[in-house]
Amino acid sequence: MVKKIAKQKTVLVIEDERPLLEVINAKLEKSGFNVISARSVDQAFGSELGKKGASVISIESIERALHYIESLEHVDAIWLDHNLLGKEDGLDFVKKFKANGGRWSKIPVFVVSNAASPKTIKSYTESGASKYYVKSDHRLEEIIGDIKVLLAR
Amino acid sequence: MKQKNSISAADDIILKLKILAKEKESVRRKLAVTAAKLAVTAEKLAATAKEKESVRRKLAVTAAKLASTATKLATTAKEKESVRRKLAVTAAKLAATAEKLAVTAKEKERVRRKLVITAAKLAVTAEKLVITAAKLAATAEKLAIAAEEKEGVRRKLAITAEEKEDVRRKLVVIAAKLAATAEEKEDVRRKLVVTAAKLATVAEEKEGVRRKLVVTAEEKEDVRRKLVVIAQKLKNSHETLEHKVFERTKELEMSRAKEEAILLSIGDGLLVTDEKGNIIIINKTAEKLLGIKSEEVLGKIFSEEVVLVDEKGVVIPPEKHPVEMALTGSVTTASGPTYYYARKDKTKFPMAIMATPVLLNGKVIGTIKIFRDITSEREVDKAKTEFVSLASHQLRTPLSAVSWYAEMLLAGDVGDLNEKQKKYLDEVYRSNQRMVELVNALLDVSSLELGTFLIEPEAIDLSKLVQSVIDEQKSQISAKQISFSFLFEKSMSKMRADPKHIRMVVQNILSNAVKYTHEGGRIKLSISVFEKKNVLIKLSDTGYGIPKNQQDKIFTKLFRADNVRDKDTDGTGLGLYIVKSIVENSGGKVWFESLGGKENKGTTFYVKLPLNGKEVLPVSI
Repeated sequence: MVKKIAKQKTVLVIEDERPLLEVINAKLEKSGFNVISARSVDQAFGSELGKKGASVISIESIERALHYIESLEHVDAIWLDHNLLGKEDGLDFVKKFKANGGRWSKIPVFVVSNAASPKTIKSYTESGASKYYVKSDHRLEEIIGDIKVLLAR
Repeated sequence: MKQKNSISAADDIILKLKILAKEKESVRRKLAVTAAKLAVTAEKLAATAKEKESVRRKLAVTAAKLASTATKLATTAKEKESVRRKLAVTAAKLAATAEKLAVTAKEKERVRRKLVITAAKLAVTAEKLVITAAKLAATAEKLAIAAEEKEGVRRKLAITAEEKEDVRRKLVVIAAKLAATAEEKEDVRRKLVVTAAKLATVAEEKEGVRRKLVVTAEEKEDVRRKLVVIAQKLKNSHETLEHKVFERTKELEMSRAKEEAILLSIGDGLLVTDEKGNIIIINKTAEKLLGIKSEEVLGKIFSEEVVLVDEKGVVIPPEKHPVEMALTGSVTTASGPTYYYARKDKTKFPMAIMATPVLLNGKVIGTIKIFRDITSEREVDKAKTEFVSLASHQLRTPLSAVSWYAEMLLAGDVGDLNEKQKKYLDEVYRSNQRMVELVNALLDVSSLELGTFLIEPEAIDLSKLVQSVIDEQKSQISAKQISFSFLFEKSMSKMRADPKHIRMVVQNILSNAVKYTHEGGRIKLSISVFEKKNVLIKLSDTGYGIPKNQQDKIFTKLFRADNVRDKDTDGTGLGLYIVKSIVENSGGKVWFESLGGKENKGTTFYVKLPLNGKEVLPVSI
């Protein structure tokens, strides 16, 4: 079942719903990806807030997230939910991530969310996200298949 | 020889001495002359000195005179000053005199008035004198009579003349005198008689004139009476008119006040301008909304008094104001929610504006503008949008979890399942998918109903879009072995429409056709230009059809026809409702033909959409 790819690709998954995060990680790993996962931006990047289980996301935490991504040895793609916990959302993250010009800022960002307003979707694609998926309308296999195709290019 | 020589030498010397002596003499003489000249010069100098002394003395005298003159002049100046003072005093006196003269003038005026009064009195006196003259005339008559009586007495006295000769003579003298007096009196009497005769004539003439006047006065009286009657009539009719006018004015006032009260009490802001854009009516709500007072703005140009800004606070130029636009064209302009009014206190509020030109004989004579604060409406809109987005997220998240976990289990990612487990799990998965569809449809419906469903037309290639929908459903079509055809009018260029919505429309009617057509049935889809400006999507199937008695309900929300409910439980009853909402909000029309009830006769759906796409932001149903 698991299709091994030549070199294991790393996907950073940012998702705030625990059951969804678990199933995404499992399916990605099953599909041969190395996964860095987090429920929220803060938790993802080992902030103190994250460790304490607090779920507040502030500007600093997105800044920290970007700083953390910058420090990563390797990352090939980001799987991002729109509704992160706290005031800021995935859109704020994408804008800053693409704008800061860090060494990973060119990697594809796949937004997978249940927020399906056309306006939100438009904003993401305009901000540099590669693709937008409405969770309930797509199978994991479909999304992961698209990630593979894009990373193979 | 030697002596000889000496003598001659001595002679020489003597000669020389003689010459010298002569020269000295000549010099001495010259000196004497010079001395004499010097003496003369000295004398002249002495004379000059004397003259100079004399001149100096004269000068001294002159100086003394000048000093004396100066003193005199000083004295004169003082005198002048004194004269000036006297003159000033005189001027003051003159002024006083002038004042007195003014007073005198007043007094003269007073005297003049008295004189006038006196003159009037004199006139009265003169009249009295005339009367006195008349009395004198009467007295004269009486005197004449008295004279006659005296003549009688005289005659009696003549009889006794002998006895009283002395007396008689004296009496004769007296009589002669009396006669003279009597003659004079007679003269006066005659003159009075003449005058009386003249007066009588004048009196007769006056009487004639008076009689004529009496006749004229009677005629006048007649006319006057007639005039009085007419005047009375006029007065009566005038009073009636007055009354009527008063009543009518009262009525008009009442109706005007009523209209004004109605206008001013309208809950929306109301502004009426004349043809130049000058404000002529502004109601209370408008005053309150704009934070202005009617007395401050009446008669002024509205667009200059109130600042209209857009969402970002950029001022909209006066010529773009709805009022100005209504003034220039005879079209009603209604603005979208992007206008804000900036109040004097710098706050702003969003508003819905409708400006309508007032037309009289096709000419714009003013505008009526109605506007209201839509702050709360916008807040409600925002809340609606938030609700839809929140609901969509909250409802879909657990469904996504069920779906993805089932997907992994079914894929055997966490170990193989037995057939029964697989079958059950498949049921879970498919039911969940139905739930996803239902949620999606419900969210679309609530979007449509809440008015948060934006229609954003863009140039689209309809054939491509429809083809991709067909591709999505190809597996279901082939699974039911349905023969499918798609015809597209090639001449059709690109159309303007919102691709998301067209996709939803085609998806819904196509999936219905596939769902409600028997295995081995037939579906035909065609797209063509219709009535030049529209595109017509026609989809016919050989399916179950729509029962005649339920055809009117087919587009109703959550309605499902009886004949399909029995055969297929899959379906939300929302698809056609969404189709109709979208199509109609896009300026199009959807309808169908179905023989109904008669199985396998199928249904044909028609969707007509404008080629140029209608922009409606946001839509509501």
